[in-house]
Amino acid sequence: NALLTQSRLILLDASLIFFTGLTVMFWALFFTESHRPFGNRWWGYLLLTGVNLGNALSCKWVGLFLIATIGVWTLKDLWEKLGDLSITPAQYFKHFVARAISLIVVPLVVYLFWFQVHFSVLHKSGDGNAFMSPEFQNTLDGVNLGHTPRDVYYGSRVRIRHDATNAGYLHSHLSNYETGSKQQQITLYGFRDDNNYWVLTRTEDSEEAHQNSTTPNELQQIKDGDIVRLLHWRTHRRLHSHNERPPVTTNDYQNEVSGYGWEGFKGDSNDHWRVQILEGDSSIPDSKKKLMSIHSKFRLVHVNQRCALFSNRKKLPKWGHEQVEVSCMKSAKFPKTLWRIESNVNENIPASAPLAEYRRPSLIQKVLEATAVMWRVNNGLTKSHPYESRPHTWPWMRRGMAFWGSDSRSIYLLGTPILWWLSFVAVTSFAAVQVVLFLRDRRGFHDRLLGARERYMESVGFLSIGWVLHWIPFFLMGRQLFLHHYLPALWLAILALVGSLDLFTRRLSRKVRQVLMFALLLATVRMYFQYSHIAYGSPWTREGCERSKWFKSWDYDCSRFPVLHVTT
Amino acid sequence: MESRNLKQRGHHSPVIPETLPFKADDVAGEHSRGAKYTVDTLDADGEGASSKTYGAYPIVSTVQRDDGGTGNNDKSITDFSAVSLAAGIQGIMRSQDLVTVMVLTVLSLMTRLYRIGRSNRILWDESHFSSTYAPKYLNHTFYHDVHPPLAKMLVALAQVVAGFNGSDLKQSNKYPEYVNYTMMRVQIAMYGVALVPLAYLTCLQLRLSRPMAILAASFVLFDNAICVMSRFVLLDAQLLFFTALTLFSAATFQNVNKYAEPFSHRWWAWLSMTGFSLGCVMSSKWVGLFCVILVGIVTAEDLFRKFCDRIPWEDYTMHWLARINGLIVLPLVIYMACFWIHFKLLYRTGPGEHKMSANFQARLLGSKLNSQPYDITYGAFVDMRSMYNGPGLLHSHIHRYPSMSRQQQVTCFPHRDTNNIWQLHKGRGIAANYTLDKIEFINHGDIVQLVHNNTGAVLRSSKEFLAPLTTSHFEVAAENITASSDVDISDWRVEVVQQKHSKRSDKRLHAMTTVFRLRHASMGCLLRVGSRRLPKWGWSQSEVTCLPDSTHKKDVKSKDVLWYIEHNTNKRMLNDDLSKYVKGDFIIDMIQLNIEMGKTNSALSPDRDKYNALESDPWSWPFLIYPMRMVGWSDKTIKYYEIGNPILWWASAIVCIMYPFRLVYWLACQRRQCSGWRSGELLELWDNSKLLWGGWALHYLPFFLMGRVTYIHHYLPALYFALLQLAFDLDLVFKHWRRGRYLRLAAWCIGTLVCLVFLYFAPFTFGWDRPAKELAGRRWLSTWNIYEDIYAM
Repeated sequence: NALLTQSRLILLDASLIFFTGLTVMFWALFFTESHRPFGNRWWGYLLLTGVNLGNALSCKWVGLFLIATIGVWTLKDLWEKLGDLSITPAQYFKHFVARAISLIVVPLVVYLFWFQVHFSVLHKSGDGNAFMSPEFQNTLDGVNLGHTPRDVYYGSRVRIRHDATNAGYLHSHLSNYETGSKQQQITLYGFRDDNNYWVLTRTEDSEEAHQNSTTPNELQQIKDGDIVRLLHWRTHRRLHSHNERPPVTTNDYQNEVSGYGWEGFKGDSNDHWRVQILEGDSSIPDSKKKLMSIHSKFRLVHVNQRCALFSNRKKLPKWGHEQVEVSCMKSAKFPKTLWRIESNVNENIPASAPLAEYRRPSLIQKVLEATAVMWRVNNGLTKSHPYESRPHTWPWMRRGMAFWGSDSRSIYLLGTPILWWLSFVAVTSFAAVQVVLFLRDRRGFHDRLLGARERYMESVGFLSIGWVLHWIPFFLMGRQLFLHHYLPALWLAILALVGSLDLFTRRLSRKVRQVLMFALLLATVRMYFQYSHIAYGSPWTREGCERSKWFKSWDYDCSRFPVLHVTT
Repeated sequence: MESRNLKQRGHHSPVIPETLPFKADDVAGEHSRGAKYTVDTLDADGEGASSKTYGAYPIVSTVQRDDGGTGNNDKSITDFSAVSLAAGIQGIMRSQDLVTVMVLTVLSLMTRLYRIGRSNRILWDESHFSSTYAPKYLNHTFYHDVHPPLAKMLVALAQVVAGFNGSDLKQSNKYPEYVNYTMMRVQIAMYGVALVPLAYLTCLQLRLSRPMAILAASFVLFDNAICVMSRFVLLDAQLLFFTALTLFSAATFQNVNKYAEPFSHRWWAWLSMTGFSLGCVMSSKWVGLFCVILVGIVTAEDLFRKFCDRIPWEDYTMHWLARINGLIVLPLVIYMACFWIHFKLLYRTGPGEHKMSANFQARLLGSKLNSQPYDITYGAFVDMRSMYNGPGLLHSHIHRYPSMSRQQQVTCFPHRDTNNIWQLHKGRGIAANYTLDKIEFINHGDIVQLVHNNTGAVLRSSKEFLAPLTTSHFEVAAENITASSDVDISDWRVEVVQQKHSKRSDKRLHAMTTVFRLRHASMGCLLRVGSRRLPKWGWSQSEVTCLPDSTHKKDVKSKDVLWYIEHNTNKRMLNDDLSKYVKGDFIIDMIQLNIEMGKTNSALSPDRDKYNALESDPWSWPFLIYPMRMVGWSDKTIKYYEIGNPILWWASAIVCIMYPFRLVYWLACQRRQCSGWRSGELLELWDNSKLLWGGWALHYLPFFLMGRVTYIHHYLPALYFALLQLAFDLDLVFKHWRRGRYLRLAAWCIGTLVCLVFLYFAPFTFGWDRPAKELAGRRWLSTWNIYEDIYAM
C-alpha cells in the first residue's frame, strides 16, 4: 500500500523505485548470461544496468546506494573470478574494464546527460538563481551580468560581490543597527539595486598628495596593497569598523562593520581598508597585482583593527530586513573573506578600455556546482517535521505519514503490514543463516544444503545487501527523514522475501507449497483491501478504521470517517 | 615448552601433505587452518582424539603444503620463523639485548634531558597541567578538567618530589625562583625516555631483526616532535609511555598466547600486564580508548580463530572469561581506582565544584554547601532545589506572567543567584520576629510561607489561575503580601518524605538530607517542576506549577514534586560541617564527573572560518603541514617549535597509507596462487603488523569524526605506531632483498640519515634564543610558520 500511495502522487519516488527495479532486473539478467561473457546479450544487459543506475542516480541521490550495492556485488564477483585460474590475466583485465566502464562511466555519463537536459530545458533565470555562482547565472537567459570595464580606478563606482557564499552584494541602507554602535547597517543583499554601489576613494592623506601632484586629473588604478576608503554612493556613509561586536555573531575576534559619516565628513582612520588581492585570473597575470573587476578576488583588511571583511550566511533579525550579516574577522581563513567587483562605473574611462566578463563554465563545472549546492541544501534540511521518523522505526512501520486529509477522507502512507514485517524477517533471517553457516564452516562443517546455499547467496544475498545499503546509511544522516525513504529498500526486501520463501519451501511437496503461497497471497490481498481506504483516499467507516488501527502509533485520524449506524 | 612444541610438530606435520580435505581454491587465505584440518583427520581416524592442539600454532609456519604447485615448497625454512620457534619465547630476549637497551636508554636520556631547564617560562600547556591542575592535588582543592586524572596525578607526584609547595602559578608566565621546575621536567621526561627502549623491545616481539629493531628505536629517539613533547610538564609523555607499554605487552601476550601453554603463569602475567597498561592509558587521556579498541579487535580475532580450532568448550569458555577479566574488568578497575584516588586527594572546595552535584559539593571541605546550619528554623534563608534533574533551584524575579494572574513569575533556574533565596515564615497571620523570638525548628506537617528575599513577594497559588504551559495544573506566582493579604493562598504544608543518609527517623527539616514536598494548605496541590521551559517572556526557565491533589501514589512519589534545601543561611545558628551527614556514592560521583568531562570536551569546538596558528586539521598531520609554535615568537625568547622529523613523518605516512593496498595485493596474489609467500608467512606477517597498522589507524582516523579542536600533538600516539610500522616494512624489504645481505648496512645508513635530520631541526627541539629568521632555511614547506605567518594581517 505504501508503494501504491507514493506512486499515485506526483513525487520523485515512483520513478526512483522504477529505475531501481529496472537496474536490479538487468543485473539479474546479466548474471544469467555470465556463462557467455562478452557476448552481445552480456554486454547489452551490463550496459542497460549501467544506464539505469545512472537514471536512478539522476532521480535522487539514493541511487548512490544502488551503485554501492552493485559495486559490492561486482567486487565479490571479481574476487571469485580472481581465484578461477582458467581466466587468463588478459581476460580478467577485460572483465574488469568492462565493468568499470559500464557501472561507473556509463552512469556518470547518464547523470551528466540528464543535467544537460535539465540545463537546456531550464535555460531561463528563475528563483533558483540565488543559489548559484555568477558564472553559472551568466549562462541563463534573462540574466545579463554583461561586461564591465576591466580596470578599476580611484573614483570608480563599483558593486562588490561576496565570492564564497553567493549571498549577494555589499550593501547598505538607511537603517541603523539596534546593537553595538547603532550606526548604519552594512549587509549582503542578493539583488542588484543602487544601494549596492560603493565609490572607491583614496585616504585623506593620499588624496591630498594626489591633488598636489603633477597629474591630479589622471586616472590611477588601484593596486594590491593600496589603502582605500569605500563611500556608500547613496547615503554618503563610509565603510567603517571598530571594536564592537557584530549583532548576530558575538565572537570577540569579530568586529561590527557599519556605515559611518555624513556628506562633507572627512572620515577617520577607521574607514581605511587595505586591498589584498589573493587570486587573479590565470590568463591575465596582472589581475593579481592590479585590481580588476571580475578577475581579481581580493580581501579588504581593516588597517586599524587588522581584521578582514567577512560574511557567513548569518541572517540579521527583522530590524536588519533579514539580510545577511557582514562582519570583520581577525585571523580569518581566506575563503569567506574574498570579494569580487562585478560592475565598475567610471565616467572618465574611455569607451575603448578593456572589458571584463564572467567566464562561461563547462557542463562539468556546472554539474559539479549544482551538485555541491544540492549537497549543501540537502544537509540544511534539518528542521523538524511532525511526520518525520528515524530509520530504526521503518522496517516494522511504527508510524505512517499523513499526506492529505479532507472532511471524510484521507490519504495516509501506510504499508501492507504483513509484507513489511515478513520482508524484514526475510532479510534478517538471511543474515542469521549466513552467520550460522559461516561459523559452521570455520568449525569444519560444510553444509551444502542440496545446492540451495549458492542460490540463496546469489539471489537473496544480493537483495539483502541491497536492502542493508539502502537502509543503514540513513542512520548516518542528520537531515530530516521520512518513511518513504525506506521504499526502495522495501522493494528489495520484498523480492528477498519471495526468494527465500521459494528456497525454504522447496523440500515440501508441490501441493503444500501451493497452499502456502495461496495463503500468503490471500492474507496480503486481504490487508491490501483493508488499508486501501487510506491509500486511495476513499470513503471508510469509523469502525473499520478503528479495527484496523493495530497500533496507537499509526496516527491516522479515524474520527473523520462517519460512524456506521447499526440497526437492530 | 620447547620440547612440547617440537613434539607436536613431529606428530602432526607428516599427516598434512597426505590428507588435504580441501579443494585447491579453498586454500587461499586459509593458511591458518593447517592445525585445524589436522585435527579433523585425526578425529576421523580415531587416533588423536585426545590430542590437544591449540598450542600448535607454530607448526603452521613450518608445514610444507603441496598446494597449487607453484614450486615454493622446496625452499628451506627461513631463519625468521625457525629461530623464534627453536628459541621459544624466552629466546626473543638475549643477553646482548640488555646492552642494546642500556645504550638506547642512555642516548634517550641525552636527547630528552639536554638543557631541559633552559627556559624558565611556563611553556605551552604547562600553564594548564603544571601550574593549574597538578598543584590542586598538593593543596587538595577540587578542579574540573577534560582529561582523566592519572597523568595529572603523576605530574603532581613529580611536583611533590621536586619539593613544590603547590602555590598557584596561574597568573604568572614564568616559574618563580623557588620552583624547581627542572626537577619536574626531568621526571616527566623519564616517561619519554622509556619510550625508546620500549620501542626496541616491542619490535623484537614483533619479530623484527635486531638491526631493524634498533632502527625503530632510533626513529622514536630521533623524532623531534616526540622529543620536544617529552621535555615539558605535559600529559603527552605519560600518554605515549602507557600507549607504548600497551603495545609492548599486547605484542608479548600475543606471542605467549601463540607459543606457550595457555593459562600458564607467563600467560596470565602478560594478559594482566596488557590490562594494566590499558587501564593506565585510559586514565591518562580518553584517547586511550583507541588502544582499548585495538586490543579488543585483536582479541576478538584471536578468540574467533580459537573457535575455528575447535578446542574443547571448557577451555574455550575459560579463554573468554580470562580475557573479559584481564582486558575489560582490570582496566575498568584501574580507571575507577584513579578516580577514587582523585576524589580522596581533592577534598577541599575548588573552582570545579559547580560541575558536580549539590550532594558532592556538600562533602567538599569549605564549600558553601558544606558549611551551613544543619537544622532549618523559621526565619531561615534557603535555596530550594528540585529533585527532578535539570530545572534547578526555585527562583523568582520581578518579571510578571503575561496572562492569567499577571503576578511575579516563579520558575526554576539552574545557576546560583540571589533570586533563588527564600525566607521561611510562619503561616499567614502569625506575627513573628525571626531575630528575637525563640528559635523554632520546622517539622513535618508545619505550615510555612515562602518569602522571596529580593522582592519580598510571597509564593502563592490559586484555583483561579491555570499554569501557562501545563494547563491542567495551577499557576504558581509570587506577590507582595500587602497587596492582597486577605486570601488564604500562600500557606504551604511541609511533608517530609525521606531523611537521606540518616538512621534517626526524625521529622525535622534539615539542609541537604531532607527530601520533602510542599503541599498547598488550602487546595492540597503540590509544588512541582517538570521539563517544560517557559517561552521568551520567562527567559526559557523551567515552568513551576502546582499539581492538583492526586490520589495516584506515583505522582506523590515522583521526583518532580520532591525538593530539598540546598543551602541554608541563619545568623542565629552555628554552621555545621555537612560532610558528617551527607554520604556520597563513589560510582555516582565518578559517572557524573565523566559526563561533565564529556560535555566540556565537546564544547571545545573551533570556528571553521577562523585561522588559529595552534590548531590544525587531522588531514594535515601525517604530512607535517602545520607545525606549531609552542611559545611566543619574539626574537629574544627561547623558542620551541613542535615540528617532527620530516623524513620520518612523510615516510611513515606513506607506509601506513599504502599498507591496506599492499595487503589486498598480497591476498589477490595468493588467490591467484602466484604469490611469493610461503604458506603461513603471510599470516605471520599479518599477526606482527596488525597491531602496528591497526594502532595507527585507530589513533588517527577517528579524529576526522571529532568536532572538537584538534592539535598536531594529537597525532603523536598514531605516529609512534607509524614509526614502528615503517621499521617493520623496511625490515620486510631488506630481509628479502638478497636474503638480508644489506639489512645491517641499510639500518646504519637510514639511522644516520634520520639522526642528521634530527640534529638539523634540533634548534627547535632544544630551544632557539636568536631571531627565528636565522633558521629560515629550514622552512621546507611554505606552510611552516618558522618565521612568518601567512595569515598575519
